[in-house]
Amino acid sequence: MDAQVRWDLILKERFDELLLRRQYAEIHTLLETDTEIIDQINDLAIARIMLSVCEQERAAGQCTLFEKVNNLDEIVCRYTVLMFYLRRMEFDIMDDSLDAFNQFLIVNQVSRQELFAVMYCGNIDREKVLQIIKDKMINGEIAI
Amino acid sequence: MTRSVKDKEVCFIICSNDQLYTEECLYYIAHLHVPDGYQINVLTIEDARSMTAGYNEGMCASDAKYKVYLHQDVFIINRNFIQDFLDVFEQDEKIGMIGMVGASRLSTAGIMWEGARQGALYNWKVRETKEVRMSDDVLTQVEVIDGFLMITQYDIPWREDLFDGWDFYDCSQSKEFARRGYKVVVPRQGKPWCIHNSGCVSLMNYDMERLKFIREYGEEIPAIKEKNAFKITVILTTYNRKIQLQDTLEWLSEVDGIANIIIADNGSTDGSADWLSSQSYEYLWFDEGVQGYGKLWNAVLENFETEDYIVFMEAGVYPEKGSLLELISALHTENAGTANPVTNYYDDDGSRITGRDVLAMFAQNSRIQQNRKMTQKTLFSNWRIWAIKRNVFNKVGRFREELKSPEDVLTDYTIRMIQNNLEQTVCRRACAWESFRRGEEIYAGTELWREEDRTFMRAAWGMNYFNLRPNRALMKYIKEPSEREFKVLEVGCDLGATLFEIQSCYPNCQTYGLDINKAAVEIAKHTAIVKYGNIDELTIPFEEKFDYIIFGDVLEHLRHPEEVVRMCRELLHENGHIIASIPNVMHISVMEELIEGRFRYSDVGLLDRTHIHLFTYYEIMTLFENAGFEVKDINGTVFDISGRQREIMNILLKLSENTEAWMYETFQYTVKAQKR
Repeated sequence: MDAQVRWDLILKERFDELLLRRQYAEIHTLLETDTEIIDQINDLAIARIMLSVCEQERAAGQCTLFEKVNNLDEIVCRYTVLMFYLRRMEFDIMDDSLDAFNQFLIVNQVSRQELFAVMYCGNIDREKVLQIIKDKMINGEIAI
Repeated sequence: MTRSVKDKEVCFIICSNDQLYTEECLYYIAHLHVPDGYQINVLTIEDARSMTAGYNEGMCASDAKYKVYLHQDVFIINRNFIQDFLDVFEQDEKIGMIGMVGASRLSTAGIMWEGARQGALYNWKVRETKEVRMSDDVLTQVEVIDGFLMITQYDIPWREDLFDGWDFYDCSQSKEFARRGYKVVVPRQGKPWCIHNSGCVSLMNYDMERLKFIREYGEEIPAIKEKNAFKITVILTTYNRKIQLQDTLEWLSEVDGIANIIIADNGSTDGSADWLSSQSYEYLWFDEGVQGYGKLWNAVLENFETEDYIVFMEAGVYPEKGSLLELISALHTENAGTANPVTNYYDDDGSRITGRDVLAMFAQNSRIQQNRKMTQKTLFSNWRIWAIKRNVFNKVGRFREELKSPEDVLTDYTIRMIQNNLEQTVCRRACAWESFRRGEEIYAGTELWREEDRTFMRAAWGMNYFNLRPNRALMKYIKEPSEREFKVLEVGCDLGATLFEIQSCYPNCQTYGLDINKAAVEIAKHTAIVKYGNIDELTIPFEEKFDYIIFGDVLEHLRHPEEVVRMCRELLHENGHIIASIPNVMHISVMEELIEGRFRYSDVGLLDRTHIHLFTYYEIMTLFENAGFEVKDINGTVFDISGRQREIMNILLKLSENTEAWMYETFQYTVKAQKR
């Protein structure tokens, strides 16, 4: 079991090193080589989901998520905060947090791809959330 | 001094070490409807040294009658949560504690998730959040509840004296309530009341805490009490291995659950029989004339009284102390046939069992892996150690005495069990070490017996092959979330071993098989939806579309492999895959024969006389390319090659720039190709 804990830390450190050096191809290899292990480590499993987000962003000619962050913790934090906001939408308890959500999207340059990926992972009734987002985008309440 | 309890107060107690999650948890609590006249408050215990310590601190600090103990990563989405749980408590004052998920019966290991559970929740795992609904029809009294959310109406101290970590505090508290005569229940929820983040959790100290739990409450856990009452008869067979026999008998004296050992000697000539006779063993059977295992096992069953559970094993196999009890625990379902432990020669996981000294550690690790199911269905049983319920013999009959080798006796018996809808399982909580060298001849008349058995089996079953082993090399290409619904077709499924194990790993997978052997189809029908058909006729008797189509050593037998693969495009969903294993005709053993002017066909192997098409790496790639597939992954099975073969290979490599060493070394390719 100790060995498993060390692997967890080693892999996360390695990820941060590669991100710092902007070695995205190596990050891809790190996350996709042994997916069974990666998916057992929550933070890296999230990064692996975000890997495909980056690929979509790159294909669309946009700045990628990995280019916007400095370490794994930031990726996990973005994912968690977005998930929390989207869940509030789903369960109709957004209250006055819509402004804060919008600010978060702007300040962190969250792309549609990233938002939808998180929605896919975190929401149960995705159609409902998608419709809410679309409506709010049309009304100019959400800027992505 | 007694404290007055505030009857109309609810306190939420959260052990917290993550501000982001805790704040979100509190956000949901703040949105709950509070029934008229009630007050709620929240206690956040920062950085508690253990769950029990944190909860005791919260419990002592609050006068509220109702306390909700919850993890920081639990979000209560049922706005009417408070009224709903108050209604449950109002039904019966003996209800002491409510959970969202619970187990009506703990397993023999004291583990909650191994048995049937009650309740419902939205389960958040990194990739997906989905509703998980166990039995949730009525309010159910349970043995223990899951600690992610626990509601109490009486204060009972958490066992801080026993549990100083983050596991088993919930089971312990359930038992503490039961000790005081209170019921622990899971309500009917309809829509789940909570979302819980159940991503990967650390189980570092899990087993240590589990053992503490069993020591403290074992006598109060029905499954453990029953297990300890099980009695096992071991039928220990031996042939010319006196030292191993002596050693095994000594080892078995320390193994739990054995009521008696019947030692059956299969005609040893090395003094084993004399030694056994000189000892005080009560149950001895000496087979005169080395008649084979069909007769030997039957003779033992006819001549000795056995307990309800029987373990057949060979001298030289060493089961871990608690493993025989674990094995028979796996035989408790109505349709259980046999149960097998993990060993160094049985099941991939057993590769880590390198000797008797690691058995205890291996067993301990296997038993604490949360995501590991306790048992896994299989069609194949390991004749060197296997367990069976005695009453199976009433349903299936005795062993076939015409068969001699233990492999064939058990294979034949397993097929008969399949026909009776009895299941074989691997029990991953049980393990044993087999001391034999790989390929060692363990019993008398090895090759001769097998040859005779093959003739008998062919006549008895109308089949040439009796493959009960799944093709795990191909199964590894199926990468799906364990609960996903998808469909797999195996062409040439034989007795259905691979389909059966796929279904066992993916409970929501629908498995279909096609085979040209009618006798095999009739047997495989017990394990999957299997039909008779010849895919070479470019038609199949299924209307469905599939996510995977498997060809395990089939394409080389077809007259039209490319047309068949092309046809599969129509049978597959968008992005569907073909998974195939294909022998490599360029293997160095074939080249070695060729340069000697030979190309000899055989009954099995690379040059099986029924192979119609022969493939190399390039031909495989071309086949899939031409048929409209993209090869996503290709791997090879490689065996050691001789010095001469290496010499030949090096010469051949110099003759061509298009070949590489692995092309000669690969015996068989496995391919995953995606529909373009």
